Amino acid sequence: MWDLILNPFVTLLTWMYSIFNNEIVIAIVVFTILVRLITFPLLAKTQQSSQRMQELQPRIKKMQEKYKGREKEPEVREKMAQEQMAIYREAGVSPVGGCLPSLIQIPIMLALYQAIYFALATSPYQLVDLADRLLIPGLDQLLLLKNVWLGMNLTQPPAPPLNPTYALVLPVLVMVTTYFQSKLAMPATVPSADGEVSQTEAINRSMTTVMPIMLGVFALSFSVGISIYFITGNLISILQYSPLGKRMTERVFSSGKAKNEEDAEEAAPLSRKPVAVTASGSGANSSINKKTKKKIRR
Amino acid sequence: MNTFTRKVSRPLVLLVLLLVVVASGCTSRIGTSWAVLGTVEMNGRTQIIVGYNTVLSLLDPSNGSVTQLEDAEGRTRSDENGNPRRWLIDGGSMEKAEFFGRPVALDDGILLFPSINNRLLKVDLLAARIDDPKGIALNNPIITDLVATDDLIYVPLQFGDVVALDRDTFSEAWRAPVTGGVWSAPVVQDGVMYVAGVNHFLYAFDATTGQALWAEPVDLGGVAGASPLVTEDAIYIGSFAHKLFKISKEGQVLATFEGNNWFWSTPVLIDGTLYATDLGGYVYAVNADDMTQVWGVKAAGRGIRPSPIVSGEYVVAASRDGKVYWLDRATGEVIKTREIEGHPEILSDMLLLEPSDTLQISEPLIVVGTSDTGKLAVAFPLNPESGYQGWIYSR
Repeated sequence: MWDLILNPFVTLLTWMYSIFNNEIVIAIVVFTILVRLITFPLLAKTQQSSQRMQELQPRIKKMQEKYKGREKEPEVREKMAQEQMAIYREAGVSPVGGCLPSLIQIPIMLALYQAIYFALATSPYQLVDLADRLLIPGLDQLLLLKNVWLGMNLTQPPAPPLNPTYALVLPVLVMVTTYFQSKLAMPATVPSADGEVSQTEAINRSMTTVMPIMLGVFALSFSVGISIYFITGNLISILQYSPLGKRMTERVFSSGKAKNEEDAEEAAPLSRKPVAVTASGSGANSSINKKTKKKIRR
Repeated sequence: MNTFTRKVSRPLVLLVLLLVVVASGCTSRIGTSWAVLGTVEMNGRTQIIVGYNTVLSLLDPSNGSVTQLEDAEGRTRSDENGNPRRWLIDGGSMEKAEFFGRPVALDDGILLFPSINNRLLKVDLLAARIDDPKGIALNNPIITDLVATDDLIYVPLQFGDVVALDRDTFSEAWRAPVTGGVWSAPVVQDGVMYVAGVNHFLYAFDATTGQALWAEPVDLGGVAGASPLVTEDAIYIGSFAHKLFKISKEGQVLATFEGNNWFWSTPVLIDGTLYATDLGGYVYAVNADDMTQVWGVKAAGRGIRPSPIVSGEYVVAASRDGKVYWLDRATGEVIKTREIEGHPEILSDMLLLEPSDTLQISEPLIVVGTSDTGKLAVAFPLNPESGYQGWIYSR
């Protein structure tokens, strides 16, 4: 089953290697960009969902405060859950709506990572596997792929003696780009009344610190080729999460969203009102809503 | 513990664990290479040596049990608890040594093992011990067999070149340039070292000086993962270009045979016929003179990596589908199939053990190596109709 995803990826990467004049680094970069472009709608959906959930936080907080001190009572817990669902329902947000696109992205990203790992084939075990993975006849005659770039062996970890000392700049770049990517990906925070940090927000904050360190450590033990994939992926995410990228996302999805909202309006005209009130807190989303309203008026 | 830490720690730990599992799964799913099987002589008896990952073990060919160590008088040696000492070496604690190639025997009961940690390690055969875990340092991993002559030891390096070491001092005598990497053992014959690179080329070097003997190496059109077969008249070698080549000793391609998939094994030549296997699951008999097909049979459901064993009326091939196939040598018809429970991949080159003065077995045995440590080596009788069930070595 996994091979159904992985084998086309390995084949595509090897094919790109051939069309880019046997330059594996260019193939990895272009391949990563291509896969990210294909999965862009999924990322944009996650981004939107996360933003809308964030905007609902003050209302949820307010509801939680209503039951403060009684949260452990089973009836209260049930009531809180029902009210929380009602808030989501009113706003037209699904609590798992943001997770699903992210979950779909995981196997794609994992396959992308493994495709690079397999195509570079550092050992007999990996190479013997490639015999079954290359789906286009003739690509096997390109093997082993040329794996030296700027004096670095792409199939080996960046640390000496198997790579020059300057290869260690790659784990550093992985850390730096992961940090900026995590920072930009973090949804805008909505201040709560008591100033307490919400659980989601706290996790987001700590991930901004933990993820770069973790990926940096991984990059030290993974091959240089994988570091290039990490860096490329992070740079693309930085672009996607940048104000320019967000504006593009809005542009791409605003028309679709407007249509959805129109449909929702027709089905339950009163249910959209709370969204307009809560959305005013965020600049990015309020602009979406303004445009949406305009379209609805039209 | 403050609120922030309390709220964050549990989900964070779970997330980190998940990522570690995913990441480790990505790299550990595939190892470096497959088990290596060979034979060594110890105390006048032939034993099977098995190397896989960090562990070396010596097996009794009659039953597949790990050989017990003996003292000079032939008595079994015991540990402090009175248990017999067994011939096992774990290189994991020795600078992360891992073994995927066959050793060469030095003159004084020492085996010189290639290791993936850029070293050659001296193993005291009688004591089952590596005295110097640092060994002889090289600048590259070694994942295939070493070859030795009276004067030199030839070391193929995973990322390129063959290094010739002085057999007594282990100093570098010369280095033959082979770009890309060498994943198969060189063959030394009549003062010439033939070696195939993963860079698609076959080279010939003077085995004494390391000088290139051919003006240009021979282009094989694809990776050459196995050693060439060198005969009196010609060199035979397969490549990932789905071809078997017949090459003159002067480096000219004389004829080729086209198969269905990668050739990753050394062909076997008997009575003017070459027997070869490919990763499409095919077994071929090819006329060694003009390289025309005598017969070709898709015997296995998955690829066949090891060289076939040809003996008497049988051609025996072992596949990645965890099965061993007996084919009729004259027609290629599959006569018998034996499968290993759980169908572990068979990738290692097989051993054919014939009864002899030093090998106390009642009938010829075939030993295959798998990727499953629960069935790392499995022995079958060469005669598929024999009642003998063979044995399984589990580590």
